[in-house]
This record gives sequence, C-alpha cells and structure tokens, in this order.
Amino acid sequence: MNNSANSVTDSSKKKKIGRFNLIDLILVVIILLVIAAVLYVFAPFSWIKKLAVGEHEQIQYTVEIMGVDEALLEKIKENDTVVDSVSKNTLGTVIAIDYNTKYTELQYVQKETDEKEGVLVEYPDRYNVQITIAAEADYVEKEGYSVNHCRIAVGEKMALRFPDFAGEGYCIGLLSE
Amino acid sequence: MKKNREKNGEKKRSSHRFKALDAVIILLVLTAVVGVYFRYNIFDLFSKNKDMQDYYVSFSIEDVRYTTPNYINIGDRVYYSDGEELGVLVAESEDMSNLALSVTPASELFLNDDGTMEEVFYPNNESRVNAKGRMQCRGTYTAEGGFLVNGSNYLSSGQSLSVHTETVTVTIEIQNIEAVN
Repeated sequence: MNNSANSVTDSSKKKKIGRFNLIDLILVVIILLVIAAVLYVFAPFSWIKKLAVGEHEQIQYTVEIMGVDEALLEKIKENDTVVDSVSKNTLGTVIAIDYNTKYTELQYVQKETDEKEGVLVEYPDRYNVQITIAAEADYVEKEGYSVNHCRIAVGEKMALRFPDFAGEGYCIGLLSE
Repeated sequence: MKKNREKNGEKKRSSHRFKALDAVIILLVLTAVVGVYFRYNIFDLFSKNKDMQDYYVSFSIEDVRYTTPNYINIGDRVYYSDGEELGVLVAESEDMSNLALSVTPASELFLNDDGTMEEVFYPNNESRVNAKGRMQCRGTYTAEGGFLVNGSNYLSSGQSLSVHTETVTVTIEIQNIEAVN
C-alpha cells in the first residue's frame, strides 16, 4: 500500500518538474526580447529594420546613360519594363526618352592665338540618353525612396536592363507625384 | 524504513553538484560579456552624451552633374551609408542664407607638352560642377584630439565619405571642423 502511494507521489512530482509552465514561457519571451533589442541597437541596418513597412508613393525618376552609340538609341522604347541588372528586380516602366543631347568630353585645345582653353567637344555619333521611369516606390523616413529594395536617389549609380538594351548610368532627377 | 533511507540517500546524491561543465559554461558567458564590452565600449554608450557640442563641418563635393545641387536643401538631414545620422545641412556661409551649396565649374587635369599638369575648367556651370557646403553636427573631441561625431564616429579633414539625404547620394570630402559660437 505504502509503496504504491510513494510511487504515485514520485511520478506526480516528476510530471510537475518536467512540465513547461507559465513562468518558463515568460522567461523565454524576456530572453528573446533582450536578444532582439541587442540586435536592433548594434546593427542599424539589420533585417529587423528592413521589415519596417514604409509608405507607398508613385514616383518618376530620370536616369542618364552617357555615350550611347547612335545605332542603339531606338533599342529603348516607351512602356519598356526596366529591371535592375544586379538583383533582377523590376524598377518601373519607361514613360519618356530624351536623346537629343550629344555626348561631350572636356578637351584642352589650342586656339589660333596659340592659347589653350578647355572646350566641350561633341562626339558625332554618341548621345546622352535620359530615360524617365515611373514606378511605385516605398518611402521610409531617413532612407528615402526604394523600388523593390533598390534605392532611388539622385546620384545613385544604376545598372539597368531593358528588353532590348542594357546600360549603366546615374539617377539625375526624382519627382514624387 | 530502509527503503526511505535509501531514497533520501539517492536524493542527496542527485542534488546538484558543481561540475566541470558548469565551470566551462560560466567561463564562456564571462568571455562573451567581456567581448561585448570591449567591442562596443558599453560604458561609453552611457557616457558619450556628456561633453557633446554643436560643430560646423565644411565639406566639398567634386565632379557632379550640374543639376545635383538642386536636390540638396538647407535643413536636409545627412546620413552615413549605414543610416546613422551625420548632421543637418546649413547655409554654406553667412552670405548665403538661402542656398545649401555654392557651385563652381569642375575641372580636369591635362598634361602640357612641357610635362607640367594644367587644370582646365569646364566652360560653364551647366555640365560638371564642384560644390561646397556645411552641416551642423553634434560631437566631441577626445582626449587624444580626434573629433567624434555623435561621440562615436571619427571625423577629420581630408576624409572622404559616401553620404546621403533622403533624395541624394553623394561623396563628400571633409574640409574643416569648427565649433558653433
């Protein structure tokens, strides 16, 4: 009788010791919060911040690709879908193309008066192509605009791929609608 | 009775004894704590806001498209590439209260026939330009004489930084750091 009573008590104690209770859950949550806080403080651009949801805005931005061969100008068309060459993410749709500006380089040339001066010399068959792209962008305070995780800002170097053309250029204009 | 005495003995034997594995775990935790302290100077985090003052940091930007300065305005916040704030743009000088940057034609170096280098400027402000600006930062000088922005990032004349505002990404070169009067 006594043996059976003791064995029941021992087994119930073992069940109580092994059971995951509310206190354990609270401790685990506290530890996870501390770890998340440490990651957030010491890794400013950690994946935690990337999860922050920003506002969505329609933007138009202009990318200038310099020195494009005249024979390739018509390869870029309106309504072409623009893709980032590195990430392969879509960056928007072409809404306007301007290739009226000839490509120039600064040259130090001698004038007839034996003086030299800096002159912008035009290349006869190369053009600076300005492509205006419309896209829906994410706006995050302090970071600005991004389209599919690709930052859009004046001065950003961009490697773009079109259905029939690829080139590198810099963003020279940005407008939010 | 005999069985109870045996059970008490087992309980005493099974009560926790400090083992070698416990010592190893404690040493690892202490090593991690010491490592975090030395990596991030934990105590500096709490004390760095002491002695922080406002400073004007002058900078230059070289060889950008002439339209880029149009997107940089007084009051724009400037950030490091990792997102930490560097400062706020102010007027480049007291005479230019409305403009963030002063702009001049950019230049390139060419080799003369006599072997000397000639600096040749772009003919106008409508191609490539250089710009100068100024921002207000909070920081402090260390005992060794170095300037720390926000008490943590070293900054000095001659340093090149890739920075951004919300709309512009640009490389600047620090020219001067002076206290705000």
